[in-house]
Amino acid sequence: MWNSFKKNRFVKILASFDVTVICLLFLMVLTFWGTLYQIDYGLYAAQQKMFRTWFFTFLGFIPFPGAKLVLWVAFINLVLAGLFKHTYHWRKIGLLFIHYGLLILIVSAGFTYHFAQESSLTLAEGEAANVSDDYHEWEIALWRQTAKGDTVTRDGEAVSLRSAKPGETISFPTFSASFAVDQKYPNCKAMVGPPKTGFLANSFNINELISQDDASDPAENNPGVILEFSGKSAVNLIGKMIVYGGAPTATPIEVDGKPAFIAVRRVKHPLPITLQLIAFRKTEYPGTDKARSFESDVALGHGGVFKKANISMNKPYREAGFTFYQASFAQSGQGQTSTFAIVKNYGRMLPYICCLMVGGGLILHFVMRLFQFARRKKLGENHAA
Amino acid sequence: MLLDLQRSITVRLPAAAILLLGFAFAFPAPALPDPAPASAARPQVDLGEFARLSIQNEGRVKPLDTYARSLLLQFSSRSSYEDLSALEWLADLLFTPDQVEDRKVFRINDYQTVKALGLDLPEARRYSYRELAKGITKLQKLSHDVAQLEEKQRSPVDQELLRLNFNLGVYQSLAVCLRFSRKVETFAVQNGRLAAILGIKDDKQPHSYLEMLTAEGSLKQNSTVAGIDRVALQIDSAEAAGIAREAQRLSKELFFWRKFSQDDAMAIIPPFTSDQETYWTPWQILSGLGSSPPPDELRHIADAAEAYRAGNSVEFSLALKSFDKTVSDRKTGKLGSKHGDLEVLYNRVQPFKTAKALYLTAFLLVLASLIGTGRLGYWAYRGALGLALLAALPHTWGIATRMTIMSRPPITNLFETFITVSWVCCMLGLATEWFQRNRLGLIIATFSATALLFISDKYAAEGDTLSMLVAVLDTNFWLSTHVVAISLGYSGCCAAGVAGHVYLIQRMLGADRATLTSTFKAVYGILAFGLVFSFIGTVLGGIWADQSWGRFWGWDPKENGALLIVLWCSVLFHARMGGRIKELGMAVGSVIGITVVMFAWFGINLLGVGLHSYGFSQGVFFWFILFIVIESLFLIISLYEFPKKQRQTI
Repeated sequence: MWNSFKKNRFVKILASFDVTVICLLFLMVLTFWGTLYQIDYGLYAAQQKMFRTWFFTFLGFIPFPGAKLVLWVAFINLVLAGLFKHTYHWRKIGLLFIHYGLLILIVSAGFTYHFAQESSLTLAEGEAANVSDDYHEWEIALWRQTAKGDTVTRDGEAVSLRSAKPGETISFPTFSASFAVDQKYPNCKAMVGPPKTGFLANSFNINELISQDDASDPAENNPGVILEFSGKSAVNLIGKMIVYGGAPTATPIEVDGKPAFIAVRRVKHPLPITLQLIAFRKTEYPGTDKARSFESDVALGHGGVFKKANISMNKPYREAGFTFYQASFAQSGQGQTSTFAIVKNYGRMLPYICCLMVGGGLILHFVMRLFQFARRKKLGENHAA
Repeated sequence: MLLDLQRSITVRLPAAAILLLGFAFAFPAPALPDPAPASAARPQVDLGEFARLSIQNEGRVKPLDTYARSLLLQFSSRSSYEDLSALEWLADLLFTPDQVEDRKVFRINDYQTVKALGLDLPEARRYSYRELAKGITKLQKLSHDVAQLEEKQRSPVDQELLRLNFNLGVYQSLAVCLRFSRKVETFAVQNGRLAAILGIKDDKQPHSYLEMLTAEGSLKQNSTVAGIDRVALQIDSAEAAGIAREAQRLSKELFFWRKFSQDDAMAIIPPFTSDQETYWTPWQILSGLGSSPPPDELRHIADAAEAYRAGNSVEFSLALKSFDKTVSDRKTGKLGSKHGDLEVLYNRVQPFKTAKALYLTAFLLVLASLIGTGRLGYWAYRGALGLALLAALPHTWGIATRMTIMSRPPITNLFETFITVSWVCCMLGLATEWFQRNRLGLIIATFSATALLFISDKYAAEGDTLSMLVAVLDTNFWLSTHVVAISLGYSGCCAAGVAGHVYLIQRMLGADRATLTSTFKAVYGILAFGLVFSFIGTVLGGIWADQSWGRFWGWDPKENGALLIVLWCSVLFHARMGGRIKELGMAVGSVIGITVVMFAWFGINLLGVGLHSYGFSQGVFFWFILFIVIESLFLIISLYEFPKKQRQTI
């Protein structure tokens, strides 16, 4: 069976150099095209259209393979070549390292693509948090909060904004509250003014949402919804309610006779630690506004016990599969905020392994060939003499 | 042993043509003598000490010599003005600003800019300050409007307006920065009594701002009749009123000079306390003095200025030495540039210029060795080899010196990629020569080094090439691994491309099988070197991105560029393994590889929006397209003209 599999015409083709070359050429075209595409449409659009798809069309109808498909074919090609084509001899050890390293690289790319979680956290000096914000995913959250000294505890639940469709109902069982979704805007801007009839006041005096096209970087989108109380509930409101993702504060409402808050916000991801920003520093080269460094002094809390650390450009902090990077900052009259990018990726060591394998393999193979060449040349010369 | 290339007439003719062209290029016709050189009637002062003076500019403490060069480049795209060095030009501007207003140093890339300023000037490449001065008010207004626009929306003329406005601002700043040292009529004390009170001997003679400043307290005291001690002076009220009037006038002048002498360019006075890093300009100190006396540094600068105007070389150097001593006596640390003298030497030697000339001559000699037979050819080859090795000396020294000055790995900006890649190409070529001894390696070494050093000149025109790094790049570890690896990759692909050209030319000229195969081996080996380091560099780049941004790969243009090189080399090697291409295909592929490298190297930068310096980028874009067109034509010709019969054998 093994032999018949090996001799199968289709398998032979899939394992051939031709497929390798075609995959590499397609990947080249995609890379080049994707680079040019970014000029007009931005990085995210290029990623979505060309690199994260099986297929896409151009000029309206002509299909073209996406990087996902090309990489899968390349992966199969590599595996089959590893099974049938490679000669397992010490002279070929460099080549084997290279190709198995590449295999790991493709696997790690897939792993990262499917399982890594990217989020961000913006803190003002002195502020602390144990959850981070997703870049693209939003949710409708309902919560109660109790303050005890400086610590504010929020108890609530959230519904993904994706699952909220106009005309349908979303419910929050712990509050035994449900809302009908009247309108949903994936990206919108808010107008401020006196509430329209039939609408409830909200904390930011927003009286209208105006739909907008998606931003070129979807992380800059500000979604919003218009909700209406539905069915039996203890929610004490009559009328529609505008909840806007770009509003700086949540809208207070009353549930079960007790105050609560509702907001459209980025999906919150729990962190393994509490991160507190002690101070943010930005330094410039003297006499210029060219940035020399950005760094944040932070305190990292594990169940109430804090230790100090420093996070700066090129020097992230890592813990329990999470990595915290200095990503951005803002300075204003009220003080400074620092933004951290947080990535949770258990496969983050894979590219390092692959780099070692392929890099080592390439050098090994190159040097071995070089010696081979030199020896042959010498033999040839002796022979000629 | 020399593995001789075919010495047929078909080899010699094109080689001779290139040779002639090359000599014409290497020794350009002498320029027509200028009727009145700029050096006439200017103070002849030794500027040795002046060159070493430290200035803080663009975040770095550097010798004035470097500053002068980069400034003149920034203004006029040239590193000298007529027969003056940049340093001499700067000295004239600082010490005798009103005598140099007619010097045409402002390069304007687009004549529309001149028109936009409403100036009635003929079309020219460069204009003088006096010509442009009438348009400054309008220029400031227009630049203000342009600055409100987003970078993407600015037209080339808009960019040019901003650039000109900035340059004129710096020029004006430099023209006033030593004004405090000039003796002017304004500060001649017209009242003899007041002069006596102030302790100024030469009344009615011009004085400098600095001299008058020491008397400012006394001036204030005497600027009201009530403040004048009439009893001690034994004067009547009318005389006292005269004194007060003159004192008032002088006080007012001091005030206005202080208020309107804006200078933020000439930061040459190191900080006074060790916890500070920012250097001071003379007027920043003068306007912040309050009632304290001016520091000695300013007095020394004033003395130097006075000596310069008088053409007194000895006093000039002495005053600058005193300045240096005063500064180092303060012991506030972080003083001066650490390798100031080395940097001045580096500027003087211009190692890359020397290397370029030597490489070019060596390249021409290699060509000569292809034409010459017998002893002539032998000595031409020997000479070329010697010159190539000799050229590598200043080249290596230049790179090493830059690394020493900045305490950095060799590559931190685009300019440095060119000088480093050309160096690596040279080494790869020399290594090939060592293996093959048939001139191929020498051609690779000398041609690629010459060409890349010529390109580097374009990038050097941006100003000071020893620049500070923005925060994200500020890591010696990644600069010395990722950046170096990528550059080695570029070098391999470029050198292989040159060898590919040689292969195709040899094939066109009907070279024999053995010659072609030996050239092919070089293409193959060097391309493999390129692939190895391109791949390692790309993956290291991914790891750096993972370290600083949290993702290994993001399809960012610069990442994509590097990936394209890796993919293209892999395509070639796999296509050859699969039997789809042979020697010829590899050679053609390596030639195309150069274009892929160029795209990744600086083509990517041209794609970006908001190009900083319009004239420059436009030029690069033009050359890039021209390069692609020429390469395409070369490939078409080299593949088409060959007789079909022989093509099948390869």
